[in-house]
Amino acid sequence: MQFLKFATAVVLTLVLGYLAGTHQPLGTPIPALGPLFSPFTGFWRNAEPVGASPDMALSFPGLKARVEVVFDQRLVPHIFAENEEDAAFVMGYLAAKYRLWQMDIAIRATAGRLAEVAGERALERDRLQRRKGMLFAAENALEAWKRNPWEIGLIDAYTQGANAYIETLTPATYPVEFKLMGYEPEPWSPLKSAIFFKSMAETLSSRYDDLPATNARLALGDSLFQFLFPEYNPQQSPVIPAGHEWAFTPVPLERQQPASGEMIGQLIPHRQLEQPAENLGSNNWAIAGSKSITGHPMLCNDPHLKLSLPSIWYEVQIHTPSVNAYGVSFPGVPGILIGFNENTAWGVTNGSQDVLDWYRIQWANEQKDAYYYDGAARPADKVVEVIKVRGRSEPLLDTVRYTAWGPVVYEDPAQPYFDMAMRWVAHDKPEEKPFTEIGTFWQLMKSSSYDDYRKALEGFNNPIQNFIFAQKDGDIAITVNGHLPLKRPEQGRFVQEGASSGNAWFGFIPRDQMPSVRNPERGFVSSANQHSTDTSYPYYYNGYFDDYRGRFINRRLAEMDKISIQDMMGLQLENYSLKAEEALPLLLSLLDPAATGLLDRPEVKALQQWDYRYEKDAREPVLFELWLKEAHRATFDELLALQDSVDVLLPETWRFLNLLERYPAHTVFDRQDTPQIEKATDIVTQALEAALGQYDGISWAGYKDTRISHLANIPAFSRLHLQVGGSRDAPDAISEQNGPSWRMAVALGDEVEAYGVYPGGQSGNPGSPYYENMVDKWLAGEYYKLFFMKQADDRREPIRFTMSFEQTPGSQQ
Amino acid sequence: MKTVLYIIAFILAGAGLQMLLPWWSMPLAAAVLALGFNLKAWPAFLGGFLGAALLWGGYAAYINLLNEGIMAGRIGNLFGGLSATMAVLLTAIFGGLFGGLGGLVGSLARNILPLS
Repeated sequence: MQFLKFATAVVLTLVLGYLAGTHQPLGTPIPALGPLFSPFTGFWRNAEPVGASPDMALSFPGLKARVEVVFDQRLVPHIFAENEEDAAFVMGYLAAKYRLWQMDIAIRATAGRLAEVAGERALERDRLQRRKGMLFAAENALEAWKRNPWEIGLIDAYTQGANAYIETLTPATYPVEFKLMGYEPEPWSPLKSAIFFKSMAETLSSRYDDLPATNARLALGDSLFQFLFPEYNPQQSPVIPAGHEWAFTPVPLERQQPASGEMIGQLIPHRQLEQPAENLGSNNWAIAGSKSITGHPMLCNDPHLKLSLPSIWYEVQIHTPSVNAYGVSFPGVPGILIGFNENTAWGVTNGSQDVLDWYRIQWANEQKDAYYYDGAARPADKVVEVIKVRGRSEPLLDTVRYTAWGPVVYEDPAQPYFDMAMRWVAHDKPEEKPFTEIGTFWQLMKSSSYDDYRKALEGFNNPIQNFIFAQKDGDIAITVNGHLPLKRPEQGRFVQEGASSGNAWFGFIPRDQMPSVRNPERGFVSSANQHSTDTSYPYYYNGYFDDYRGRFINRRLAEMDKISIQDMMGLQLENYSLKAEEALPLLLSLLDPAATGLLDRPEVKALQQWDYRYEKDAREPVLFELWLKEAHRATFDELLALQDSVDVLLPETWRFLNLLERYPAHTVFDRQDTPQIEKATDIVTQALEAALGQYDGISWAGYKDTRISHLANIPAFSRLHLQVGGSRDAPDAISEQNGPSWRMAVALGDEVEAYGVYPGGQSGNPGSPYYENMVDKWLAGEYYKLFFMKQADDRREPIRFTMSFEQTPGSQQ
Repeated sequence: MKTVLYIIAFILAGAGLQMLLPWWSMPLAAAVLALGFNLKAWPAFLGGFLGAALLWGGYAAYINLLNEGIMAGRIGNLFGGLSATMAVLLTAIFGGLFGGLGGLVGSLARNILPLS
């Protein structure tokens, strides 16, 4: 009896202990609660004391000299080092200290290693990332970095710094997400920096619509297709001002005509892969001294990326004898991507060109060992991907086939002989040159003149960016920079036949012939993901260009004069939509005059008075967006019907409005599901009725429901249901999940005056007061004045604490 | 009195051990001390519960105070919308349960071990 009692207690304790000590016990999603709730090891250890900020003194053998880091009131580190490598070492150390889990999960998500920690549910995503060749792309980039001692020196120092921090960790001090997900951090490596860089290439340059365009063209015929999908909006205000003289002789294309069978003559059954969000974009502009109130240039940049916690950006100042720059960096990559120094400021927006094309692969046998290429069967390179899956004893082995075009991403077991390979610029091995992407940003950090800027751009291949630049004494410039494929007209708009090398790109547009402008007469340069040039540019390119923000920004900048830095910030925060300005009067004018009941509705009366601003409390934008969406849907019902079986492209909004205005009786407006013949008037009137039926008086912010999600989508670590205005078509492009991820405004001059804010915080730890401390200011449209320190003991602004890094004695290398 | 001494000894041992060893060192300490103090089943369970609850709950409450409830609020939210204070309480009860069970095992072991 006594023994039975004892045994019962022991078993009960052990069973409960096992359950509490095991990650996801009995198939539940529950983490190991014992170590998680223990205040000695668990989440409590990640709860940072508010206000406490003791100075720290550290020492590491990897350093060459002493480094002093001053943390300001917002936890922005100001790194004072004696050389660039030590600065990179400390950047790596701080990135790991404040953002380690973010760095880890970004690498896993990109390279296809999520299932290793998240199990089966991430497996299909991992397989896709492997088939897309993300690791292959990163390895090629790293190989190029290694060729330049300066560049790889920075990466190696950054890696050493990150690992110097990671080595100090114990399970009790792991970032809390590791505890919740039940896995351990790994060492950082140069390859991981390359993978991080490729994650940005994926986000910014992997859009395509070759498949739905091919299907739309086949379904509609070429003439109707070209009518509905023109490539250039004549109203566009391109990055390089219209009428620019192209002072070069273009490279002749030896094959102007498509090789035989270039395009595929059958509907493509494959579905589009998950695409980067359509409204990822950005704004940047710079004004000449002639337009500014100070007489010196000013520069603004706000990259619109997916809003996340932790934020994609980490703010930093780097000061060495050769560099003194301030701006934002990616946790995982050394250097400042968008920022300024004492003489210059620079920024980027996405070029949005199509640099990813699809080629159909005809297999020579059912084993898919070889494919036809220029009349012969050519063996495919097989790479066996080893995917570890949590909960499985054996890893999954998946064979990815590489062709002359690139990896075979679409593999359809139902099609033993046809698959599709991806040709993507981001896979390419960079050519021999003094430096590549990392070097580009370090050169910009050190730049003091226009020539420095042009030289810096030479290293950068992908993703294509609109690099904007301003120099305090006068120069402003913008350059569409990167590897832009040299294509014949319409090449790569549709899926191409991969059996002929004649369908390949013709190389890349020479760098000195890429669109660029310096000090244009209008006194400003700008970009907002619109077309790079007007149609006079001698090369063909296609892409996913924005139609409204760029036109509005250019219109405003042209009107503005004696511009102050506050005016610049005001333009970034502008929620006026040019799309609404153009669409709403048109829609109202097309309403059936007989439908007077509609015009008497109070909602419609309010809409007629609307100022086209997407204010958070406004109701009008909701009704307008519903109306436009319904009209678009009813017009292109033929194409939408096809979408049940295959992916089909839908016309862009600008073209839709264009059709309403110019071709209101076109057959495209006829609805398939009614016997009568509809015209634009009928569609627009019916669409308003349908929109009013859905409209429940919700505010724009409530309808849009903007959120900043934690990277593992943990709601408790996210900011949800944000009360904020803005629209993807306005400069303040805050949509449901994307928006200005960093707002920067810089007034150059004898003393730089700069402002910035991002929707997050410098610490990635949800237990830190600096996790999301800047979100409310960002929501309110306010900025922080950036503290650009002159030297380490600069105390014009209060600081929080310092961290000194000494070289470990006796470790002189 | 014996139980009070047990609780004090357990809190000290539990704190020391958990600085170095995983969380399950706490029920282990409760068991060994309950055996050493020769406690009966109920005092051992309650004493272990109270000691562990004080140790975990007290430490968590102290951390929570300095952290102004930021982390506990988020974790509480994650576990069914609990407040920061409830997260402290849950931590105390969770620790207490294992402290108590450890104490109980130690106490019951007296009856079957030859040394008693």
